[in-house]
Amino acid sequence: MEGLDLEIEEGEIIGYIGANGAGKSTTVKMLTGIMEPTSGRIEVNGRNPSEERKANAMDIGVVFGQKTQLWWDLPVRDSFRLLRKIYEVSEEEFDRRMDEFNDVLQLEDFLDTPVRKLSLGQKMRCELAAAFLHEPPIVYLDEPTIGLDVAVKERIREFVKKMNRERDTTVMLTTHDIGDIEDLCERVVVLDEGRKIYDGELDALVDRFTSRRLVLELEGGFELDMEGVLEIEDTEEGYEVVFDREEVSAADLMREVLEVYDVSDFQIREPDIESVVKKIYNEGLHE
Amino acid sequence: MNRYLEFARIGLREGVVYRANALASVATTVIYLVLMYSVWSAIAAAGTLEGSFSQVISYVALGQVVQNATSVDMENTVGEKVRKGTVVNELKRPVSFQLQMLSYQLGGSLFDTVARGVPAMAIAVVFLGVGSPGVLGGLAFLVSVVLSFALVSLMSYSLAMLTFWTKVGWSLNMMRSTLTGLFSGALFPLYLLPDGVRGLFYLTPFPSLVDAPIRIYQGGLSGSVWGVYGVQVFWILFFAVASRLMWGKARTKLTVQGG
Repeated sequence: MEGLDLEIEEGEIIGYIGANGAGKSTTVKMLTGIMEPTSGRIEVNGRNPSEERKANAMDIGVVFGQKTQLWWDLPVRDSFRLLRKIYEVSEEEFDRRMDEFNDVLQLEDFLDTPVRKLSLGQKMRCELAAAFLHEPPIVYLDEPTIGLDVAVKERIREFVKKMNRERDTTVMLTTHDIGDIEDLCERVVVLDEGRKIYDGELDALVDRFTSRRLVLELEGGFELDMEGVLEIEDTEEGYEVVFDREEVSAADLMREVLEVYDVSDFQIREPDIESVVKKIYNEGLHE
Repeated sequence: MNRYLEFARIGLREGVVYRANALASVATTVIYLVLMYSVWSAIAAAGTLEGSFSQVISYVALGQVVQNATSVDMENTVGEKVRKGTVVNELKRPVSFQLQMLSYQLGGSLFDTVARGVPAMAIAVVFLGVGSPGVLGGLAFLVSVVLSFALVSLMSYSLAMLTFWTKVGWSLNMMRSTLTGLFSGALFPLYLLPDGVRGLFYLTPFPSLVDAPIRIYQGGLSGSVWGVYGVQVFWILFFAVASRLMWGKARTKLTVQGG
């Protein structure tokens, strides 16, 4: 990690994205007090998390999506019971919250099943409930939807949204799933090789970093050598011209093409987040 | 306190899930004792045994009781967490890492004491003629076993701290088991050793694990019970401090596996 400067407001949901090894999980581990930064300062709710790890832990909920905290051979209920005790949640409060979580996560059917017999989606739903059980003001979700099917993903997103809306929970979400970001986050922070390379609205990120595509249907071969044209691909739908709209407008491009070629149809593809994220994950965002 | 009892409860519940394991250890104990019985009979028959045969067999049998009742493997428990990176889950909770691990272990061991220690004791008494030490002797023995359990837990936990560097625990566990077998009295009665060698053995913490409670049971102490407890407590404090220091080092070493 290098020169990371990040401030998160109460009640925000921020998407924290970047390629594998960019430093996302390391950030979460520093924020939870598990790891200590070699230099610099971290403050979570007025505390230094590595110096006051236990006090900080009472205020946070964490899901490490690839590292389950549930006891493998015991019914899920036992894991919840332990959490209830260590976070000092009263039994009535616990029952009330579990009821509430049930509405969205539907846990009650498998509370008595040993964790090893649960599906990945069931386990992750439990992990989510576990992280929110003590109603922490801050929750870190480190890849909470990895490997899940669409239905479970949606359920989990709905749950996070609900908690954020009703309890004003601040959420930091690291994910490789574009749907998570689109659905949950207004603000996105992009990390590359330990440095922050983007911090702002999701829409602006898409605008700033993607090139547009023009798809042309025409007979015969096609060639175009023009300033701003980045790439030409021969696809099933036709020739796909990738261009940088800072350097050339779609109008100029079309004019040039129509002068030479007999185009039967064309369309302009708007950028989507998926391509931005793909780009970030594949090559990083080098400005 | 309440929080840590919960970890003990989880440990106990898991012990119950793995109860077939306990059965296997009881079987192992039986086989081991049959083997020991044959070996020591042969030695006794050759006329080279110092002291009585029954005292040796009783020592060996009690050694099995103590070992079954104080079986601890923190090296693998912690090592697995470090290797897979799931140690982050222990560290994200508002509880001490060491006390979480130790109380979890305590729960598991409670189960072992009942499911492995008690059957081993029954075998020792019924088949190998281990006599009763009387009520006071029995209590004194139990206290020493509890101290032995505390010592083995802290010893194992201290070694487990090394898994933050080695990433695996089984080799550390193997090392400890081998040293324990050799020096503690688990493999042969320490009183049979020549004085000089025995003196060296007693400089290590290992006799406090097995030999100490057996000596109290067999009453060969002539009132020095407190001295035996004292040495056990000394080693407990030693490893309590060592484990704290090592945990400090392990924390700074902590690089969590898997991104």
